[in-house]
Amino acid sequence: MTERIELDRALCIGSGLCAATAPGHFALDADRRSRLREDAGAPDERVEDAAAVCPVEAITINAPAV
Amino acid sequence: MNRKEDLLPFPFPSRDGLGPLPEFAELRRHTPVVKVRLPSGDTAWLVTRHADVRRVLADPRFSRSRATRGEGPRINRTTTLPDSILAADPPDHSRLRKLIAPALTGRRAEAMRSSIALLTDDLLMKLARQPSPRDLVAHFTRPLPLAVICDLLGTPRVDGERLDAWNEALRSVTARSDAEVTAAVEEMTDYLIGLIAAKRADPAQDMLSALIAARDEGDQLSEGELISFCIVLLAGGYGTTSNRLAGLVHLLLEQPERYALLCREPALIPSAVEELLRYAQATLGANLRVATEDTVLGGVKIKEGEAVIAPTSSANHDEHIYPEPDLLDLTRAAPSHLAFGHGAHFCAGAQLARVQIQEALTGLTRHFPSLHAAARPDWTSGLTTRAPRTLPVGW
Repeated sequence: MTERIELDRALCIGSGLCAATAPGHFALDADRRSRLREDAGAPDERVEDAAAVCPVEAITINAPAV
Repeated sequence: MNRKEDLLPFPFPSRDGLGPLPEFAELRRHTPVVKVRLPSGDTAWLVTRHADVRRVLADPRFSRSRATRGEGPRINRTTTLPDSILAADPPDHSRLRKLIAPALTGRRAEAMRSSIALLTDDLLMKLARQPSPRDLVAHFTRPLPLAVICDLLGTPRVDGERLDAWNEALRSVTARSDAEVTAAVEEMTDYLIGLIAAKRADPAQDMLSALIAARDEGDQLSEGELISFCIVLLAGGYGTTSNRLAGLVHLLLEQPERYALLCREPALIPSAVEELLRYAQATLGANLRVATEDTVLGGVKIKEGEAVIAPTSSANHDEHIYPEPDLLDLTRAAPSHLAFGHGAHFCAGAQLARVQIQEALTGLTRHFPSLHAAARPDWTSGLTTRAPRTLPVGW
């Protein structure tokens, strides 16, 4: 059971903070919004950092469903 | 080999105003990645197109830490604030950024909107009682951000003039000697050591108390980092915000129909702010990055250890992204731009700055529908940024 990364693209302002903070997990699309990379693994400390610094709180890490 | 005299000197000469620099447009068209000579004598790759600027700012292989620590290319010989958040790369940068991010989210900025509107009304009502013309910088565009950042940090609403002198030193390219810059940083440091001591003795629910607690209880930053953090927060929260606000009002008054449009249609203000931020080439350069490995950028090979400079001012006028980029069109649908930077160093105060500028323009157009330029502004020079030092207005 792994934690899940949720990214709310409707909130995203394309700051690029997540892509620079956790480049293994986030990348920016051509429309300049963030997306989860297809090869992204389980959330690590850098993903926690990205969630904490996102200026619009668009990233959340959810505990695994029971 | 490039001989010294063959290289383009950078930054380009400052001109009064905030209009697009022709040098950037020329480079974007023909040589989007070009080697330039910095004031220190070192060289750097200047990138001017939107895609390349974004890549440099978000790609961890272009390091701020390498551009501020140890040996390597520099803009000036003196590096200011090497232990500040602006000089750190993730994950070290994240450690510092996390300490202030919760207080500066979009949600928190919205929660501050009504108190910012009250501050705005108060300043503008005071101004309205004075004889016209008056300097809008002294009476409005400085005191508003100064009050907002001081309240957020939890410090007294300090002497703006002293801060202005320090802020200019921090932004100096050629305006001040290296010795003057160092002296200003020392003075600002002494001043902040005093503020921090007072706050340590009397903590409250504010950002400075939170940073001190992170230092004293959590050991999450060093004392030097704490002081540098305060300098960056004051320089950005006050200096940058007041400079931008004055610059944007200047752009509105420069062509009176722009200001009249926002008076008639205040609902346009939020998107007009984004267009004004995109258009205004307030920053002439950018903080240097150093490549941590060999890479290719815009078709040009960049070697490990070489410096790259990626000005957002140029990216914001890229013809590939914005139709008629040199046209300031206040009805353009809220363009996405890089005026707040991009990547790890995306402006921490962006959301708060947006609320302040929106409220400032809302208040101005409501209180002073007949506002107009009364004389030419006096402009800063020799700095990394351009801004009106004065903005004489009548009403």
